[in-house]
Parts: sequence; C-alpha cells; structure tokens
Amino acid sequence: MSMENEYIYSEAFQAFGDKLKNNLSQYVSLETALLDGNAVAGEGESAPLNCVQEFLDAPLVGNKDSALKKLFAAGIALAKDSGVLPFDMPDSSPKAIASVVDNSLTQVKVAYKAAKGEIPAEEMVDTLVDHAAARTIAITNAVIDNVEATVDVISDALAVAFPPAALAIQLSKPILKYVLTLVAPKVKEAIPVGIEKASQMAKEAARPVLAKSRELRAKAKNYQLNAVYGQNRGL
Amino acid sequence: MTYNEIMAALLQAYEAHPEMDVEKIIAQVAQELGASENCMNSIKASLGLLDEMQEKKSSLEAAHEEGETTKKWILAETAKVTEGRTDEEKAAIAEGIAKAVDRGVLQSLGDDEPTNKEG
Repeated sequence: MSMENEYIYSEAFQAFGDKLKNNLSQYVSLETALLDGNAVAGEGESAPLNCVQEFLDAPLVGNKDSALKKLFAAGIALAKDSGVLPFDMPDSSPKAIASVVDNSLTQVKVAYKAAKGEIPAEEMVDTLVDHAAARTIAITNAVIDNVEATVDVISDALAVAFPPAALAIQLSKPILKYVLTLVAPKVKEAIPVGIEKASQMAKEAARPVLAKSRELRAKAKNYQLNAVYGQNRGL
Repeated sequence: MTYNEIMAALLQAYEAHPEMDVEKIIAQVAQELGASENCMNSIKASLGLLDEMQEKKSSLEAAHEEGETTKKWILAETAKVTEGRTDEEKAAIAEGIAKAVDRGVLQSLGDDEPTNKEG
C-alpha cells in the first residue's frame, strides 16, 4: 500500500464515513421537522403544467428532475439579477442556488410520492438524507480544485449547502408554494399531506439530537452556576 | 417583470418545446429578458452543479442497487474526489466536509458545542 493511499484505509477514514452519515441524518431531520404542510398550501393558481406533473411522477432520480431543477435555478438567478426575487437569499452564488433548488424540489417530490404511498413513511427521511449526501459530494467535487485543502477552507466552501435549518426552510418554502400553484387540484391537496408526513417522521428522527442538545445546555448551565457559586464561596 | 412572470416565461417555453434542450431554452429566455453577463455565468455554473448533483444521485442509486450502503458510497466518492492528494490533505478534506454539516446542525440547534462531543 502506498503512503498516499494509507488514509483511505485507515480507521479515521471509516470514522469519517459514520460521522458524515450521522451529521447528514441529524441535519436533514432538523430541517424536515420544520416543514409545515399548511404553510406551503398554494395561494393563487395557474394552469397545471405537464412538465411539473411529469417531474413529480418520474422516479426520484432521472432526467425529468434535472430539467425542472434547471428551470427553477435559472428563474432564481434571473430574478436576483433583476432585483425581483421575492424572498431574501443572503447567498445567491451558483452553489447556493443549486443547493436550494435541488433540496426544495426533492422535498416536494418526496412529499408527493409519500402522499401517494410510493415511498413508505419510514423511508422518507432516509431518502432525503441520500439526496443530501449526493449533493454534498457534488459540491465538494466542484469546489475542491480551487481551494486549499484545510479543514476550515473546505468547511467554509460547503457551508452554503447547510444553512441553519430555519433559514433552509425559509428558502425552500416559497419554491414549494410556487410549485403548488402549477399542479392539478388533487396534487395540490396531496403535497401538503406528504409534507406533514415527512415532518412527523423527521421529528421522531430528530428527537435524540434534540435531547442531546438539551443535555449539553443543562450541563453548560450547571457548569456556569458552579463556577459562580464556587467563586462566591471562595470570597 | 416579477419573479412569477420570469418563472412562467421559463416554464411555458419548456412546456411548449419539451423535446428541446432545456439549457438552450433557458439561454433563449435569459437573453430575451436582457440578463447580464454575470447572471448568464451564474446560471451556467448553477446548471453545471445541478448536473453534478444528478450524476452523484445516479451513482448512489446504482450503488444501492448493488447492495452498497450510503456510508460506503460516501467513502468511495470521497476517496475518488481526493485522489492524488496527500494523506494530510485527504484527512483535512474529510474533516472539513463533516464539519460543514456539523456546523449546520449546531446552528440549527443554537448550540455552541458539537453535539457528538462527549459532554
């Protein structure tokens, strides 16, 4: 084994695989738990578009996904360029636009397929995690040649794909709402139902990380209290 | 022109010519709307990234069909994208990827410390 290949066979590399998969599951669960089916129910209507319905009906991976996602990405870039983007997008780099569109349209498609019973409820979060994993590797591949290979530089280059969950939802919500104006009434009713299912499943999946977070906060608070009272006792 | 009108122009152009290359349709609509050069470059880069994402999803799906787990696929793909790098760089890239996601989790929770550190 050459020295250069040693790392990829190491325990540390295997541990990275577990850590990344775990982090992606936590992130996707926290984000999906914040989705609200009622909040995306469409206001206003357009004539249903075949290209949107074909996107929803097609398998989760395929060329139909690609075409619609490209149209939405172009729409965001054009609207941003003209100053008419109706939602606040702090980072409108190509990485951010591609991430937001890929994430939002995957969410709406998974929701539709879950509402139709094509994806079992218990597989919804895993499906979204798989898409997040593919997105992560794609962005890494795209940025890696132009940046220095240090932990912080790589982490900063990828940060745009993992904004705080509340911001991620704020960005995907208007896209989801708009999609709902482009589908037939039955589909318009089904998608929020699927979103609610995904959100419920994600809340279950996010429970351990939320409990751990509360535990750490309590420990930090006790540590601060001990420090204060210890100091007072010493006076 | 509003965002909805821009989206309608793009979607209707594609709806009318689904057999056409979507990127040509986008370029045509963008030109009609008078998009700046910066915007055209941004669109091109975004579409390239979406292609890359699509390719990785297809690769992950193929791995699943062969009975591989998502974790194994992540490791194989990371090994691929870091090929030719030193072990030190590979370790930094792997840690940087995990850190980016971890930071997203922490910011979502409003925490200061990593959740997977032993408290």
